[in-house]
Amino acid sequence: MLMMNSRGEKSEAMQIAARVARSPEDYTSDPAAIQSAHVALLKALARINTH
Amino acid sequence: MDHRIRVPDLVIIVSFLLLNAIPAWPASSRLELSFQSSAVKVFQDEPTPGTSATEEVSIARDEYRSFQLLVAAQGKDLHNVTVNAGPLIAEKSAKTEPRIQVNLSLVGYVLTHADDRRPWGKATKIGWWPDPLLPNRPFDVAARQTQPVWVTVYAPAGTPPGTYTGKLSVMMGNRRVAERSYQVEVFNVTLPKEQVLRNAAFMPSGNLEAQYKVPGGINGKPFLHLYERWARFAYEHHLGPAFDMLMGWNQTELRKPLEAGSLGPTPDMLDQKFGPASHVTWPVRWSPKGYDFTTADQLIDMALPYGLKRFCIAIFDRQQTWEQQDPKTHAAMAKFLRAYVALLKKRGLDKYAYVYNADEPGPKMWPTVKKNYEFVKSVDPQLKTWLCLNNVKGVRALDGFTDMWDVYIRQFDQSGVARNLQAGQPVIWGLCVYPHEHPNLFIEYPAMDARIVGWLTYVYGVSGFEYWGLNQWGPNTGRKDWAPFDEGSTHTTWQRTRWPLGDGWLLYPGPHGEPLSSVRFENLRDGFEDA
Repeated sequence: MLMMNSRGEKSEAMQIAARVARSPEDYTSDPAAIQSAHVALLKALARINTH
Repeated sequence: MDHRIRVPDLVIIVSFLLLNAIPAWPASSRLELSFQSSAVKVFQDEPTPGTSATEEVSIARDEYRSFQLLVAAQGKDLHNVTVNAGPLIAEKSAKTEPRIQVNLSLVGYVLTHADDRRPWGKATKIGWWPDPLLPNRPFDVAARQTQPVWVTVYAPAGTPPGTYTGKLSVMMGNRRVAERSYQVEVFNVTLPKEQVLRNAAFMPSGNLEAQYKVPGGINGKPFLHLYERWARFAYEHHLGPAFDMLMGWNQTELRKPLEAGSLGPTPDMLDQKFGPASHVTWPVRWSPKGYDFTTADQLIDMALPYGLKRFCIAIFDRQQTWEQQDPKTHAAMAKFLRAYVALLKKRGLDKYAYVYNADEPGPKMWPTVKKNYEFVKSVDPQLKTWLCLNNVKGVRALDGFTDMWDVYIRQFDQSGVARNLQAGQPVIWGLCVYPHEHPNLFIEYPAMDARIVGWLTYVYGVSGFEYWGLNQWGPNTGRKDWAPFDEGSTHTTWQRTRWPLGDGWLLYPGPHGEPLSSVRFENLRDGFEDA
């Protein structure tokens, strides 16, 4: 629901989401990438809400 | 009386004072604490790579996030260990923030065997796998083993953005032996309560009834309250039971014995008053005035705040062809559907209602799928159908005979359903035992499999995720002693079902009707909240 509410913000999370979609198996061994993408999403959305 | 203290007495007194002055020393030297991501499955008997001495949780308001505190026993066994969470303190004001909730659970373990069903081939590990999240209580840790404590943080709407510090205290008996701090950063972002993804899970009421045997049976108020409790818990995980919660007509094979079948009703769910031609099931009942939708109405009220915008009201038979079915059954079903749609129209919800076509039909059933579709349209042209396929050729063969496609994630590309999606047709996708490839929700698959489902759903533009079972517990149904809720161990006696471990359940039956989550369900929720 964070990405759906990001209104097209080109964040790090979007790029990671695209990579996840291309190769899900790779991401099963890399939780840190998903976790950092979650933080990037929060930062991007907080920026939108602040301005 | 001689009041002088002798040397032997002095030794005893000093020893006593030393022991009590430093109560943490002997115990804390035997345990080691570290943090681990919620997206990693922790095995008790293996070192876990990637642990950290600190933990920082980033969270939106109305979002849940979890991490694990690992309690490892060094040279000796640890007994009667308890972990408690203190209040969160705001960095700016140094005041307690009572709105932020911290929930602790113990990671429970399920034993796997060499001959368990594994369509993917070789097991990566035979032994204890983490999955159920058990209520927090005192626990034991054997020497050189690790017990994870699952920590979930939730900041409700209205929580001021900022940084907060929380503490986790570790006790042995009534002595505090260690403490760890962690930080929570609440962002100026709030997740909407109404869910955007139109997810739907199957959670048969008959399985819950068989587990808890609530006084008054499946038709009583206490059972409805129990079901609502479970449904809310599932909705809070963004996977409510919209698949079957309002399904008042179930024409698939009766589930007898209980562990047989998958989508069929249990005998308790079926309203027997209609006779053999009837397939009316809970939550709909018959009354002398006609169909009684009171319970369905109440469930709709419960689910509306979560964004109830897709649900099934009936399901067709999956085995008999149209010609093999009794025409009286078709007539009874038509009557049922008209009555249900009339109720939904009054509430403005008829546009969200679906009739689920024959489940996963093979080519021999495809003509019946078309007949079913035409039948529904003859009852009400606005009423929609839902078609779940596990044959990649089905989408092209049945194009024009469904209002919504439901395919499995690993068959999305092969099925060509992307073309239908681009043309504006609703598409939902799901996971099941077949195809078994990653991502999937088996206990023996990585936690990241569950986490990326939401991400993939977003990236592919699919409208939601469906899953065939939150509580398909098979032979475990009715067992109250499957976990040692009052003992120190976290090893359960959960038994395998007909399917690979974990396939068909994301929830476990807790004591007193409490739904217990799993490592998989928590990761699934995190992924949906990311999306």
